[in-house]
Amino acid sequence: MLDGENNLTKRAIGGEASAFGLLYNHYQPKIYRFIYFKVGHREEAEDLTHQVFMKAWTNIREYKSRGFPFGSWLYRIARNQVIDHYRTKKDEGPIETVQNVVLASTSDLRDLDSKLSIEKIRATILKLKPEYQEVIIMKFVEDLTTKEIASALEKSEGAVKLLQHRAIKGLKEMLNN
Amino acid sequence: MQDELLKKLKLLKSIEPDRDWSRASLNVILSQKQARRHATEWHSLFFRLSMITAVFVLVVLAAQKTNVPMKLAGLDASQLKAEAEGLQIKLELAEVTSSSVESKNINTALTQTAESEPGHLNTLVLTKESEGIQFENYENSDIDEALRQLAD
Repeated sequence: MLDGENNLTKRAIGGEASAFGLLYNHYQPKIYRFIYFKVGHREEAEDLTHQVFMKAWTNIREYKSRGFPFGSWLYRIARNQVIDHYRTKKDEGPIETVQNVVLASTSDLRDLDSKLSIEKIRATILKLKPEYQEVIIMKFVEDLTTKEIASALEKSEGAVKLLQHRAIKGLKEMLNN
Repeated sequence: MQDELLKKLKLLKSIEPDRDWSRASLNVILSQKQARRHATEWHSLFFRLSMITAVFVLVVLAAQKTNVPMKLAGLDASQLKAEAEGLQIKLELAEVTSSSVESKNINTALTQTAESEPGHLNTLVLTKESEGIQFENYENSDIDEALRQLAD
């Protein structure tokens, strides 16, 4: 959760663009990664991320803080956006075609070994059930708390813990095979 | 093994969107106006009113279809009849009370008359009363007419 987030969201709700800009800078890479892992194409991920933040800005007054951070609300919008995306676009390409795009987008990586390692994990995560993917990304990549994940996925904290356990177990097994 | 896996998962954070695209996207987003709160509130109020009206209409239509009488306390026919009957009884009781009072007064007057001399036959009283009557300047045409008819 971003420092002073409650204050920033209040200012953004009041129409202050600079406050929303700060929220955007903090959450946009996270939301982008979340979407990117699910759609596998950079341009599509960019478009969907743009739509998520457009919706967040235009409908920010609908966001009411119930003790969970602004990020959880953004993840909810992102999940729905991805679902709508797949509903309208049913001719999704095979997982293998995504791999090259992932390699191209990891610009900060210094060596090929790391790239291949990331690619292997990325490809393996894609084989998991969607809710396992989401939990792994939120918990082990983005370091969200269980409460935040539960709020974003609209599940209980107990259910999220169970999902985390199963997801990481499933990922380990797949990587070993 | 798990620690190694978790470390590798953290490496996925290196995937980031293009910075120029991010900046351009933010500019486009902020150029859009926010949805107006008043519109939302009005829509909410309008929705509630519509729902209340719809429910009311449905209840009325359902009552008409099923021939179930609308039971409103103020318009219940049997209740109104009972109230009316109650009023009549009260009126009758009041009449009985007033007539009993009147009969008592009459009895008292008759008793007093019987006990005392009949004042209305006293000659002095009759003389005084006849002095006060002016037979010459009367102006009652109806009496004149009646007398004339009797004479005829």
